[in-house]
Amino acid sequence: MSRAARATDGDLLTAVVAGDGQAFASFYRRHLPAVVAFLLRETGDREATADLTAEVFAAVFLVARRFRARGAGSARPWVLGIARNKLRESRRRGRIEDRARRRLALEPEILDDEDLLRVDELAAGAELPVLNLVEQLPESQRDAVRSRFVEDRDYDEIARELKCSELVVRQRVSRGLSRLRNQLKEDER
Amino acid sequence: MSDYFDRVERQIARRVEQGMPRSARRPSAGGYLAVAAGVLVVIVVAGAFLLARGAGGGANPSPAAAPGASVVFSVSPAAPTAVVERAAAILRERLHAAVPGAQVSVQNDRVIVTPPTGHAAVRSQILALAAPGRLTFYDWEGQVLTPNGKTVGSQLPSPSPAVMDISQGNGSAAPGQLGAGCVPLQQALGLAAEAGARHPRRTEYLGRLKLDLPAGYTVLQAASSSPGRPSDGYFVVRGSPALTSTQIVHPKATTAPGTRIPDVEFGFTTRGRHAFQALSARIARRGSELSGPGQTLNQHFAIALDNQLITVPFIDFKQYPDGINGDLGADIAGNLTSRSAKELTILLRYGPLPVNLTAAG
Repeated sequence: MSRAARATDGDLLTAVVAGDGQAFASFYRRHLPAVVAFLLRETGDREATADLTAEVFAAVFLVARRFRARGAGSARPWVLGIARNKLRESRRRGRIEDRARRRLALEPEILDDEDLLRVDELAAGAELPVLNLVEQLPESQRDAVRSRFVEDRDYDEIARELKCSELVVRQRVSRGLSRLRNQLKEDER
Repeated sequence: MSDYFDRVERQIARRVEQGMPRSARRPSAGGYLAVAAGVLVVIVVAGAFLLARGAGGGANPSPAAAPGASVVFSVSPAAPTAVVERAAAILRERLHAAVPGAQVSVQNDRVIVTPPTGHAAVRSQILALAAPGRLTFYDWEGQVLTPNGKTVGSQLPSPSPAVMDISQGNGSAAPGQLGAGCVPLQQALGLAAEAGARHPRRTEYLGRLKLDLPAGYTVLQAASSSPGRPSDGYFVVRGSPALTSTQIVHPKATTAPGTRIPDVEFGFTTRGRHAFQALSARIARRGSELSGPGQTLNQHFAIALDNQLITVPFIDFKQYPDGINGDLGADIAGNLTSRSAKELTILLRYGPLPVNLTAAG
């Protein structure tokens, strides 16, 4: 196993803050498929996914010093949180977020057809066990859990969208989480 | 083969190796907040000067205060011994970071600092670090008053030079500077007294000056346009600061990559982040509403240290229509020396003193 492969996410981000480009590359490759898979599923648009992915990792560099590792803990939730924020901001503004790339003065990269196929490949190779399990929940629970934890929305907002009471949303989330916990326990056996 | 994702990786990795560009590190008083660089240089030099005299002892060591001699500080306003002890503890921490070996004690409600011997510049450092250290952020146009007692923001756009000078500056002075709509001290005190006539009175300190002001009104000393000379112009602001030192975390004296110019960067607490975002959003919104075809009226916020203006940067409402995300913190940049940047960092790190310390002699 290479040194980069052994390094924790916390180690890599510490090195990134210190100016280690190779550490950034390792971190990027480690989390790229998950970010692409998440964004593709949320947007359904390969070009937007590619564009937002670049934005997410530019932001990772800008806020790397804010990452607080817990032991050898993965930065995956942290990175996906950045992705979720970028996505939300893009939806709110009606255009793809590019603030981090502008701050870094990155050159725009042109996408060709092969790049778009690569988006699909990366998404297919992603390891997102929990998110995949979420997709397997019954529809009502899946929508509630996704809205609450993937999109980070408030219960009242979800209730309005799903046209039910807040109490019902909370019940669905609770049952969905319970089912996920059981599923994860079974997978660990 | 090089695909899109490889190219993105290479671009960002290259930026990582170059170090974070100045404009990317923090939404900066010198960068994103877009103060004219020349103005900022002057303001920060003034800030550094004021830091040096903040304790009221004067920037130059008096003949009686030879290096190594104790510095005795009186306390104002009079405070219980426990409060004086707390001030001494904060000063001890500050000095420990900059003047190792300096001893701080409390005797008869006076704070006495005994510096280590053989340190030529130590008195001026002690005076600088005995400043109260209260950093405050204000919504400039939203809080600063014109001589008629109304806020500048409530009168914009306006043909009045008094309003426009304070908001936009003029050919010779930037907003917040001497010459940009400030008034003499007596006039500022009169304006505050009149505008806040129904409010209870309170005592506030501005350097060595003890001011009697209505509650909710603050007199800010204009930023000097001459480095090394204190300004004799003043502004009156109404209401509480939008942000204070207590909402600042992790201050750090650093240098801008490439230019190696000293600056001070800091983050915000959770509440501070929200406050900064809300403040900048409010200012951006007002800038957008007031600006029209052919006229841009950028709006500002003010940063003051111990009621002495350091900088009054504007928020570019076109770039930040929803305000600036406070997650990345901010920085105060300009012609700080490495020493004054370090002193400002220390003041911010250990928090403000609960009382003012005035050096004898």
